[in-house]
Amino acid sequence: MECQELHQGELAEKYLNGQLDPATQDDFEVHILECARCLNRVEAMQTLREELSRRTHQIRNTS
Amino acid sequence: MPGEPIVAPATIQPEGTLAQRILAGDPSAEEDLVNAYSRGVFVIAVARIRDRDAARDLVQEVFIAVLKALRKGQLRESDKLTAFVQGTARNLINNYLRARANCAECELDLEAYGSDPVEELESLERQRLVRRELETLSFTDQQILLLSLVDGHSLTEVAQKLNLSHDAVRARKSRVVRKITKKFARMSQK
Repeated sequence: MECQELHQGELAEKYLNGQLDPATQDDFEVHILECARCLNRVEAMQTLREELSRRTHQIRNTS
Repeated sequence: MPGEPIVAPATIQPEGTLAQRILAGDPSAEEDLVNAYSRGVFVIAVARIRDRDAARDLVQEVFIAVLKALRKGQLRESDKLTAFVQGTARNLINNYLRARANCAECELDLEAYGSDPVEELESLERQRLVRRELETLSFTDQQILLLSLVDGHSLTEVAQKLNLSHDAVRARKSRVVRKITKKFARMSQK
């Protein structure tokens, strides 16, 4: 699995949304165990999502 | 990704060498294995379980299982170490999820495994960093991220909801994710 493919295909986001088929999910996980850059990207999105979930009401109520 | 700091790969040496050193009884190789893979296994566990505390415990369980197998020489192709770590993590996480589904009130006995305090501190520091970054974002950027990352809307849907162009939404979202990714990379280099 190539890094370019990860960035262009938004695989990281699909992975975090549980939208990958099992084989692609396995390949993706092997990739992030070997690629620090992609691991940083996935963890950044994962942490962002968690923090945004905590602030959901605050953000929605401001609108 | 142009402009991003170059970061060391997660594996610090050829996979085969590491597996062979562990089989030969080299204790520093076991530490190298944990250092190389623990953060990635934690991210995988959080992604699959969505519970940081349980994920932290499971990471310990994964390494106990991987090290036991490697000491016994159960990895037949030593250059497949990363896939072996991922497969072990996936199986243990699936076991955990099945047990949790079958017995919602039962707590799995994972307390026996202590978590890595350094890894835990780094994880908390990354959470704090994201909180700080969110505080600095415009309200529109926060809405874009919420609609996209939490609610799961496509960029086109987000653009329609916020009356913005698709390109503007993509650029704003991408800028925030890239900025935090770069900061995570710098933190992991320290």
